[in-house]
Amino acid sequence: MSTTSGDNNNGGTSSANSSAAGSISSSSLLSVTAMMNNQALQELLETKSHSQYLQSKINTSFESVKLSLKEATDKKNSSKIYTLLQNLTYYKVDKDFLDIMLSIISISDDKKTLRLAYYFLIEISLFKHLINSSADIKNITNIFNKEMNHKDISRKVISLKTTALVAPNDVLVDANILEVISGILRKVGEDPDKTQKKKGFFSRATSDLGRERSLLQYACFVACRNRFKNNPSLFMPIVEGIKCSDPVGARHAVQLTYDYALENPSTVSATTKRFIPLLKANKGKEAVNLVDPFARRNFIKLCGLLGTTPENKDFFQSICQSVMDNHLSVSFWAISTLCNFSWPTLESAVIEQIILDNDTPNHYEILPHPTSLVTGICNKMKAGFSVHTSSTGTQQSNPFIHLACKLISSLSQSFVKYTYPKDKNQNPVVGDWTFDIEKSLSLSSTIYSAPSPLPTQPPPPSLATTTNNSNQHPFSSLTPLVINLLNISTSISIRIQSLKALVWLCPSNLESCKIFQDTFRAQLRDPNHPPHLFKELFLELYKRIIATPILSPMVLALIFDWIDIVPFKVDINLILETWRVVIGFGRDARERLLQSIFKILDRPVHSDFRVVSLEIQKDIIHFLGDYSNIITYENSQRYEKLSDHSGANKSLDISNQALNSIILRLEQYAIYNPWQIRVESIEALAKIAFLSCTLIRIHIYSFLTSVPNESHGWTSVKTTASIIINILDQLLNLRAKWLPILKKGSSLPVNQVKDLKNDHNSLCLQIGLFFENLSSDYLPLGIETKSIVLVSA
Amino acid sequence: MINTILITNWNGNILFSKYYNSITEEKQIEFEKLLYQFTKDEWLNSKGEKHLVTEFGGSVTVYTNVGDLLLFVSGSDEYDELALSDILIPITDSIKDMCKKKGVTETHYIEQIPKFVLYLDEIIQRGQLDQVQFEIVSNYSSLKHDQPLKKESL
Repeated sequence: MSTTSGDNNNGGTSSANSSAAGSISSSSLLSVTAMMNNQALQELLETKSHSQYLQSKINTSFESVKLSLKEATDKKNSSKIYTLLQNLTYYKVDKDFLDIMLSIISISDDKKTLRLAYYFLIEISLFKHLINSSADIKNITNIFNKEMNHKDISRKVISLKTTALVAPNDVLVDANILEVISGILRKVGEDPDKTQKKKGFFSRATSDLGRERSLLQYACFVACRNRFKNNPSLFMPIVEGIKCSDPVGARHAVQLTYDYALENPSTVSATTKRFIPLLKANKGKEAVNLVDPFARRNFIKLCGLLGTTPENKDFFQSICQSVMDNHLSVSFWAISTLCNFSWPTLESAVIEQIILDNDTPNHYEILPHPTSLVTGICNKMKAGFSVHTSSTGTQQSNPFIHLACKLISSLSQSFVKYTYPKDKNQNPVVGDWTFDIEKSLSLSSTIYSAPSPLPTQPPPPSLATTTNNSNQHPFSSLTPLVINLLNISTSISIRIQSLKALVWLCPSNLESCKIFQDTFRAQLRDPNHPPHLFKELFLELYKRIIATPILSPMVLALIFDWIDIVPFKVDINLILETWRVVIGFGRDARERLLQSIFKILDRPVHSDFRVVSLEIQKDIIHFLGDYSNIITYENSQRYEKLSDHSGANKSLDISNQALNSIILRLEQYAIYNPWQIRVESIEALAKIAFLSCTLIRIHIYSFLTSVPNESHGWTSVKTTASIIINILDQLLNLRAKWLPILKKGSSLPVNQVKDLKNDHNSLCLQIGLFFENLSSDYLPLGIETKSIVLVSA
Repeated sequence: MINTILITNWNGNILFSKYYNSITEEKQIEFEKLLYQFTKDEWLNSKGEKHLVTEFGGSVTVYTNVGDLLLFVSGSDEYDELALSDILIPITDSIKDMCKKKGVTETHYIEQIPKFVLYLDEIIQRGQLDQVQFEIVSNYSSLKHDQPLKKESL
């Protein structure tokens, strides 16, 4: 937002600090300063107004108003006080105004003036912690006591609400205010109309409580919210206040009861169960009919807190019934609250029949038959969508759609996470990735044609059952409605929520997710979509594959599309994080990941995207440097373990073809690319070498020593290469030196142990510069040194 | 809670701001920048008092247009999109009422800010919702709590 003055450019303004000069545009500043003197300019730049722009539009200054107000108060000039208070509303006040406001309240009887003075006292209450003089405290208390005895109910109400806010925390002050509140609430509770009380029917504004008492009750509850939360002595009057005839008073009472419930849920549940509407046991008795929608929302919140235990299932049921509230925000707040319950609870819940009778509050929709909760929610959503996505819509269509998508996402997520198959450790199973839409179209040859030198992992549990899940997604009927939003809504926020909902509406099944993949892919081609939309989408996809790894091939394909179609809108860190998750899914996943990475690296790049694509390539190379060994199961002991193998495939076994494919590409990048890519490639090769077996080290060492160095900008590359060559040299030589000694099997003399440790530490120090976190059990000189260097360390 | 109320003109110049969530001035500026960034392209769609939504930084903002002004209400936790949309209604009604003589223009709104702050004080106090019915808001802001209502409440 802009707080500059005189800026008439549409949408071209930038936000500004209300007290900083630097953000004001120079042209507007010049036009202002031409008219104002230096003091006024100072005022403008250090304004206490809501914004500098506002200050430029008004003819007053804070200091002048403050001074004049003080003078007028001293002189008890009523009309001038009122005018100055009005002027003061353009500014933010502080504790310095406390005395003035208290004086005004003491001397003035004009309601308009008083209301303004009380407004400023509320503003001053933000500085309550600075009010510590006994004179101020005494002044506040005296005025409070005087106002509470005033015959005008308005003054009592405003005084009680305000004093609870502004009075400093003092034992005597607290006791004073508490005594007043207790007295009021006790009087209300002693209302003689017991017939009304027995029926518990406080739905209509009754005159037996009296408007004045209900107003005071309301004021007490507001005061309690700001000062006496969870006060034990007020518990019962507050709970009874849920039946307050003032709708807003009832709302505050429910909120206060909720605060009590946070500390004493069992006591509150026992005390409030009689209020649950539609509960058969409460019919004709004390069931509340809260006319204020926000009060009903608060009651749902209370039920949400209390309804988590089996003995309080009536509270949970009340939330279910509230789904049928005819006020949209209450109904959807009920759905939102239900999202906090486990899926099995929701799946088995039922919305009970709601029929129209004298005891049924009129804010419920009729429900002729009991309906499963999930069905009820779907029906509510569909009804809402039919209204709010029509050509006319309503004022609240966007908020409805936004929230509806969030709730669909949340409920679907709950369903998906609960029903997805788990292994014996309760982790989501990786699943069978055999079916792959992209693989059927892709013509690129696999790099895993050779048999792996390492034993294969046991086949993952079958996800055949998930085929059935795609038909059983309880909210699948909402999918077309959500997809339609992408066609009709231009709001980016709504599109984001729609996409997030679709991520979780997608079945946990590769065969059934094509339509979703196509939908997500189509969004990439929309030029109006900002980068943050894609970030939100892919972040949600990231969360999805953590919950349901089976969808990883789809996400990997979409990542390729993201990079290929709109590289300038890519969040590479999010992509790398997603790849790290996929690495954890095992052998097949790593194979698929590497295929995907190669597809990205090997794709042709449009000349318009060359620069950004190089940045992406650089980050991917860095990633390969860090993770190639993990992805390809390469480690420094692999060669030694395999060198004793025999058989026709020995040479193939020894050769890690996957890693070879990576090294080949890195070597090409190290020669035929801009210097930044070459440096990154060489560093990646270094990391691979440091973590690999001797064969790989020798190969990379040999490459680095023979790489050409003729092009401009080669200097930094050459420097980096020199350092790496030096380290590899040491690695290979020291390994050659120590291996024969260690293989003898006899224990080493002390001086040799010391030398070995020194060599180990030196190498770790040098190699550690290339890694963010080098593993503490890294053995540069081989596994044979483990018993010596690690045990002693 | 209700975090913020902002009222601007069509250029994004702030005419009124109220932060209930006690964030620093730097954070306020950051919030305003992001709000501008996320909503400016859709301001025109809010004409005719249509409520629009954006969400970032853990809070939801519902905004609309009335006359020459843009109103933004932000909240978190129990104040979701529909709640904020409901809260915008009495605020909008307040502005229309106090500007009914000369229309909801920037200049006239600025003149009426002394009245507006009292209306707002009855609707939201310390980030918590209070009165939502405009007639009550109007009465209470003039210390006329005992004035009978013209129609049934809510």
